[in-house]
Amino acid sequence: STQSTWGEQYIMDSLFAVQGKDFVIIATDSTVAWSVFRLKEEEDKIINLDDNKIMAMAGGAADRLQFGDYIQCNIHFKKFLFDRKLSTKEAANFTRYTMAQNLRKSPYQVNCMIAGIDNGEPSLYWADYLGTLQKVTKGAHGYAAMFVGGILDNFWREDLSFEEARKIVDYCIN
Amino acid sequence: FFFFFQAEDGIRDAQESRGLGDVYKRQGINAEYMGRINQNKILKEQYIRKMSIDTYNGGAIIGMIGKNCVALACDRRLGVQFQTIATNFQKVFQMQDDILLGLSGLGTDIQTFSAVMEYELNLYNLKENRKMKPNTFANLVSTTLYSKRFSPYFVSPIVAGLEKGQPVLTTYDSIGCLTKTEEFVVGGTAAETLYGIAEAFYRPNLNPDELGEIVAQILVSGCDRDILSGWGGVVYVLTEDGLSTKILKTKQT
Repeated sequence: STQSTWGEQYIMDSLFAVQGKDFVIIATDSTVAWSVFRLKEEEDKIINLDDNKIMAMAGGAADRLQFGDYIQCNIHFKKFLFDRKLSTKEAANFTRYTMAQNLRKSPYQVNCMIAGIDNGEPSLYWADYLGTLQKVTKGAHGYAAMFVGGILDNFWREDLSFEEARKIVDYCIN
Repeated sequence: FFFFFQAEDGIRDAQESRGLGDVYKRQGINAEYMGRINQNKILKEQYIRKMSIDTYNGGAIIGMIGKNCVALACDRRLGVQFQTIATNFQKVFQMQDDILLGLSGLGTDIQTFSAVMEYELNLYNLKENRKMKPNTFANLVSTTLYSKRFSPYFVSPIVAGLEKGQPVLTTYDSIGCLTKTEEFVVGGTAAETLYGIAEAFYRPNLNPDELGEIVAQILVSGCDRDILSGWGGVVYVLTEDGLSTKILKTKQT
């Protein structure tokens, strides 16, 4: 959910992600709030961009749904245009391009993380609502970023097994 | 006592004078300015926006000329205000084998602007069927920035190149004012700190090794004192023989 303070809005949804040896775990919160009301508690804020990549989004429901649908449909379209599936890097850069293009028109207030597996190689991208894109091995958005940043930095290392990563995620959620 | 009226956008507030002078005057002009800002939502948005758009992601770059060589160095931090997101964010882009473009400022605009310049350069190569000269590229950066005069890219570019063995080093404000220099330039949130150190350590006619070393020292010291920059550095030294890249460790804060 969002709160209007600056010209831009504070984006209050949380999400975080961890990359392991051959997988990526993304976790998002599932609350949809509107000022003082909690409208829904089981919202899924992760969409499939393709059968090997997903995008988790944090932001107001309107932008999240619109942006998510737009990216999902365009990735799907490009599969036909180029007659091949897009790599995660290409999908992430297309997402950044969309955000940057709209930044000076009507910006999408959506922070997101994009994860995918290409030929067994995992990759994870962190994207700001302004269109800043960075390939990372762990990251978070929203209030989660402040709380779990330290946990992720402390426990993450190269080639995490699924159980180890699962434990880190549990630490973060708790 | 006497009362004085503070006019704020047409609203008149009566405030008691404390007799020792307006309380704002004691705290200094800045407090009164902040008070005025905070009472007006639109001003506050603009103030915050003006304060933070160039410092939102943080960064530091420095360029320096040596003898037939030029160096360009940057830090590696990507942050969202005071939170660090990544320590390997690219800020220097090799446009051509004799042209480097270093960018500091808003992260998204660093990525957009470097892509725009790469596009312009590629188009030039296709149309003219030749490489672009560094001085030409430097001018192209200036005009590209000015084309967005009323909705600028929030970046401070530095162009470093070698034209016929002669080093080229130019810097710009965010709307394209070109400054050519024969010594050094700095940019980013750490600019003030970097100016002092660079001024102290700069010598003309440094050879490539010395140049790389000195630029590295300046960058490391500068980033140490700026919370928004650091988390490592990269130094590029361009000579007739090619580009050498060195990754630095700075204080991890």
